[in-house]
Amino acid sequence: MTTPIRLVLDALAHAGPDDPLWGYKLTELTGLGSGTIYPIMERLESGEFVTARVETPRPADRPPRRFYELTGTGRELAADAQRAGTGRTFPWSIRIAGWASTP
Amino acid sequence: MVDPHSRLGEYAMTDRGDKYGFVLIFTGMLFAFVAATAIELAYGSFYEALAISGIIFFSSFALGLLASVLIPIFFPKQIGRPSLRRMPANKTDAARPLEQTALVRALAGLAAMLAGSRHVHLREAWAADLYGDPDTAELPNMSRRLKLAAGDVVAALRCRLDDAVIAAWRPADALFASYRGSRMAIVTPIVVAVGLVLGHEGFYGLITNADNLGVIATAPYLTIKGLRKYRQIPAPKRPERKTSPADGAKR
Repeated sequence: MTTPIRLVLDALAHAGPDDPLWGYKLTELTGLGSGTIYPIMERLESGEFVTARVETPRPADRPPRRFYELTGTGRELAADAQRAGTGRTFPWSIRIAGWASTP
Repeated sequence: MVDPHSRLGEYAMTDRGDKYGFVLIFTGMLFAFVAATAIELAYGSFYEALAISGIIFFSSFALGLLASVLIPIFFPKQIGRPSLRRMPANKTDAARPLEQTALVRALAGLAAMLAGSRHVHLREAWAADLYGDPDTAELPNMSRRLKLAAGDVVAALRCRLDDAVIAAWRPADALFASYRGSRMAIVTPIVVAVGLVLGHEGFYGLITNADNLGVIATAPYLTIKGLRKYRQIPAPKRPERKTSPADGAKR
């Protein structure tokens, strides 16, 4: 598993159910470009590790966002990735997101 | 699909500007073929003709791509698109800052075109990204939007490349997952090799070529086993033999 995939899985695993992530947010959290994020999301979606849904209700002033959430298999994969990636440090933005979501 | 009411949506739905790029690409291709034929007829040098036509082809391809991005920016009126520099100043809707960034729109349109029909859902996601995070109500600045749009073009190309790789692996995956197919792929080369050696050198040839035949026998087996592991395809089980009532009677 590559580091970008591990970063994306980690960001998705830290996202709360009421605060799903979309492409722009993922680029901010992981520090990766949209050119890397979207091919990864497409692969994860085709492998059924991630589900995607369009924002509802559709906003009137901008296009709707495409939210991504981990499936059960995706959570297992994220946990495996976290175990395998020991010793690697994630960008400060992910760590802050993790701390912020901790009650 | 992109929201057709948004300006970005309007851009993604039309392909008038991109047509100019394609015209340039195909004209270049045609010119390359004509030039190659003329050079070969004049000098009789095939490789020289190949090299020159290759240079013409690739430079016309690059020029075509550049034109499909630049023409909508500098000549919007000529290709029937609304001029970006004459936007009404009193527009206050959220889409206004995007209307001013022609290069971003051109890149978004290029990404949408490159992504193709399999990734049509990404167009909307990319368009939404250009509006940033609605929770903070701050639109990304110009350089960030440019970076996002350029990233979308890269994403579109990578998605298409992934599709091509998946399509290329599909027949091989089917072979690895099939017991009979894998057996055939392993057995056929060695049977052919043994047949050829017997035909040319006789039975004694099998002994003298034993090392080569050993490699021919093991290489497909190891390749299939390795690729199965790489593609995470479980080894197929041997199909059970059908037992006929006659077999039971014999016992």
